[in-house]
Amino acid sequence: MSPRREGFIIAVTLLVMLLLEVLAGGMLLVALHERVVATARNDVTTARARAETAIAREVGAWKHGEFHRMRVGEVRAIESDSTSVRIERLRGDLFLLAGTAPLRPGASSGGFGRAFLLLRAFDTQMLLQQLTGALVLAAPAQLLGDTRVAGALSTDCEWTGGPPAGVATTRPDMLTVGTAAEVAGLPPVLLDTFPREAAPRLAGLSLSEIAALADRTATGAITPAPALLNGNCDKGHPANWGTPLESEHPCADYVPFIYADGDLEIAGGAGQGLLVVTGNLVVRHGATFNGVIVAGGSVLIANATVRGAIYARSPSDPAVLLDASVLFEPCAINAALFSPPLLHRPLFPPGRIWLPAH
Amino acid sequence: MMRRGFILPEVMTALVLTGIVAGALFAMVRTQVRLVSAGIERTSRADALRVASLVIGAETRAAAPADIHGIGPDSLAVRIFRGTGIVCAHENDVTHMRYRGFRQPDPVKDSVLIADTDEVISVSGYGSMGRPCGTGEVSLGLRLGGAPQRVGTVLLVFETGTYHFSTRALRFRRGNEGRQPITDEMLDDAHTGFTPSGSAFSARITLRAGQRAATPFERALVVFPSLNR
Repeated sequence: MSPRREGFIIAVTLLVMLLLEVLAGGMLLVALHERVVATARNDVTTARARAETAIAREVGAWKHGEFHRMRVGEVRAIESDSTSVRIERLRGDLFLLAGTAPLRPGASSGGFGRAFLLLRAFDTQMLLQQLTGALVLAAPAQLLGDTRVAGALSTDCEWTGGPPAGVATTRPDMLTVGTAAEVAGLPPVLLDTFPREAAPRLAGLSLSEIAALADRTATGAITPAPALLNGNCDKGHPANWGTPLESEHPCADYVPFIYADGDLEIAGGAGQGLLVVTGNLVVRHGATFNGVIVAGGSVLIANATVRGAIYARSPSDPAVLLDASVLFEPCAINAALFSPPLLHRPLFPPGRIWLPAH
Repeated sequence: MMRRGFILPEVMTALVLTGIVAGALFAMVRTQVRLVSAGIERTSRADALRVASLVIGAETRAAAPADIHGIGPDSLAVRIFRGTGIVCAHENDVTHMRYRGFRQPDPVKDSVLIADTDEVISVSGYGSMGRPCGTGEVSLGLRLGGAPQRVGTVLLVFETGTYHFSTRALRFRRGNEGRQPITDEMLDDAHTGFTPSGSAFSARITLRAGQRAATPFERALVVFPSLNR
């Protein structure tokens, strides 16, 4: 064998090996490409799921965040387990939750999975702004007998609205004040031109949404009174609306949101909170109520006391006060609008909850 | 003489050996070329399967029932969201919004949906783009139909189109335009299509027979869950 022949075989062998390596390398690249694509898809899916989970976690812990106290436009960022949730109050009744999770937990750079969710909520500020007086009216009203309606500010509680009138009405010409009745306020009678949302919506929500937020519902006639169970406030008792009269009572701090779908009569007793009545309201027999009353129909207050505000929304059903006392009270109003346990629960919008992630 | 006669078998042996080596080399190269072609085809087929499920899944993940306009055996008519705006101001008849999206709104083909009420309003044109909504935010001005929306309202910009499984590919069609292919023509029309399932839907995607290689995943039954259903 000459050296020349040996060289020929080596060259052929090397060529074949080179071809095999190139082709094997190509196949390896294809496999690696598939792996990269599969990994990226898995990372994106996982990150998006983590962002959605982070949002769901904040919705579940909503009441602890006191988010109803956020101003419109305010943003809060909550970081947890390498995810973050940005909560922005877009409108009084609308929150946007933006969840972000990195594609690889712990990495400071790289891509992110995102998710967006909308929540609706009771717009406390919207209702507060509409309480321009102790008695807010849109229909004819009569203040008879020894009735007293007073709008005044106390220094005990914060009030972000303007000076309260005694009676704020869109129809001052249809307000009748008896000779023994007294109306005081800043001014006593205000021509109310404040833009109001159209009934039946209230505080940005529909009545069905409002009903879903109620701590208790009431119909017919009721005499509210605090109730105890084993020495504690019995919040499950149907007539327990807390008590505004005894500050040391276990139910003194219980300020419920009561919803009445239809007519309601409060026949004596005492209670506190936010009371929304879709029909006609009667309060009499020495009843005392601290808080905010919103009535959709006619209003009759006879020989009863309301500290806070009454908002009679009907443009046609009259309001009659006879030997009644209605006193504007910011502390009672604030308690009624900020304290009910369920009032500030988040609600899901009717159309869609999750938004596309752009 | 003996040395000259010995040359013929030597040459013939060399020719035979060369032929055998060349034949082996040719077969080897041809096999490898086939392998590479099969690998490329396999990747393309896998991509078609993957892209078809990814695109439809991404477009419908945040869809509400009202966004699905119709599901046929080979078609899916749906609202496709292109961007999200949050109203920040009004100026004359122009609604300014913080905007983020895959592309700018197009008044010719886009509409706007109010996110929390699902009310649809039309887009009649662009407004001025000069008024920023806030620091670092992209501001967009649109002329919208209907009453002015409250500041803070979330608006979703969308177009309506139809996905089709036809002529061996996933295609998208908007309005009266032609169907634009989204995947390579790798699908088996007879065994690919949509199936409604309650408020959700699924797609059966089958690859047509390969010319060179079988793919480990020849078909997929993809259920498309939606967060809003």
